[in-house]
Amino acid sequence: MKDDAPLREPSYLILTSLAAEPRHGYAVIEDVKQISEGRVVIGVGTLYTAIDRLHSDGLIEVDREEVVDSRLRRYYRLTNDGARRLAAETARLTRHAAAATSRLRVLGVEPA
Amino acid sequence: MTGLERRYRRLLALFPSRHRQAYEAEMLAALLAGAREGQTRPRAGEVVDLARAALTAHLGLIISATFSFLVFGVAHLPIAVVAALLTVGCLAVWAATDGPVFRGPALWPALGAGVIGAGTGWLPRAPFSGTVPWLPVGGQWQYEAGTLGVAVVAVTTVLLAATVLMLPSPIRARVAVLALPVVGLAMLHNAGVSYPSTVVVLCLLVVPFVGIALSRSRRWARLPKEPDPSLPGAGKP
Repeated sequence: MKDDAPLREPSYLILTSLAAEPRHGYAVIEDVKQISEGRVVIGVGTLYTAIDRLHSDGLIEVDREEVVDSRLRRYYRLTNDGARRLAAETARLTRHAAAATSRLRVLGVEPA
Repeated sequence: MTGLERRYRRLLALFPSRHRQAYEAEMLAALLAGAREGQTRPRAGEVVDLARAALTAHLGLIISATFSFLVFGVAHLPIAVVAALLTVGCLAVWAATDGPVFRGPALWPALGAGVIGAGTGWLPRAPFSGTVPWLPVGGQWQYEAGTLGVAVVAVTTVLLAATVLMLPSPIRARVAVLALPVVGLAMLHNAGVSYPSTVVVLCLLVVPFVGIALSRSRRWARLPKEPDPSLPGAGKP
């Protein structure tokens, strides 16, 4: 994946979730729901499609595995490349948001 | 196992095996963790999400395998696989044509590919391979040989392609069909799905012999039967 290619929203939110601490799949889903205030609910299929891609791109890696109630929990964590990528994407989105905010102010509209 | 788990497992079976091996257990755990109290069936949204993700995984696999084969095929195709392709290809030609085609123009590229494939793929590996001493399926030396290795694989591949292209059209089609399993194997390998196991290579080597047996049985079936002397008119020209 090219470094300057925009991340899709699920991938961006997954990286954001893992920036706090290593998490397993279901914990990522719950955290993304919380980050987005319930607006984004990632399905398990979508989550693992993104995890597969982020893992093969070297942006996340396996932190550890646990078995809880006979169920596998694999924890993922952000790699250094993942942190850099998240920072670059955040800077890009911040620039876009700042431009949109300043132009909305010209129109007399304040972002909620 | 609950009914819900069984139904989730059925949905997860839609994914390619590589994906299932890597993620099935944790996907199932995440699905069950997100299930509501008393839920007995997957929700409609989950079914759609899983089916879409499974389709994406399959398409991604096909696209990456095709792209890798077309763009990196020559550089990433192990010489041992080329040698296997050559062997199967030659046997397939024999099976499909019963031999006479090797007297035509396809003889020379087939011969050239055979010499290179045997000299660089089969012969050096066969006695020294630690994992499968009698089959050179682990040959990766061309990666270390750099340009020379890539050139050897490239020339062998071109000669194999020339062999097939020089065949008369009906035979070419039959040989292409017989070669499909090997091409598929090479594509899967290039996609990083699996390395050809001994069993797979053995199966591929068995295919031409099955083809030979089938073509011979069909030829015998077509042979005119001896006329029955008891029938009226038997023996007349």
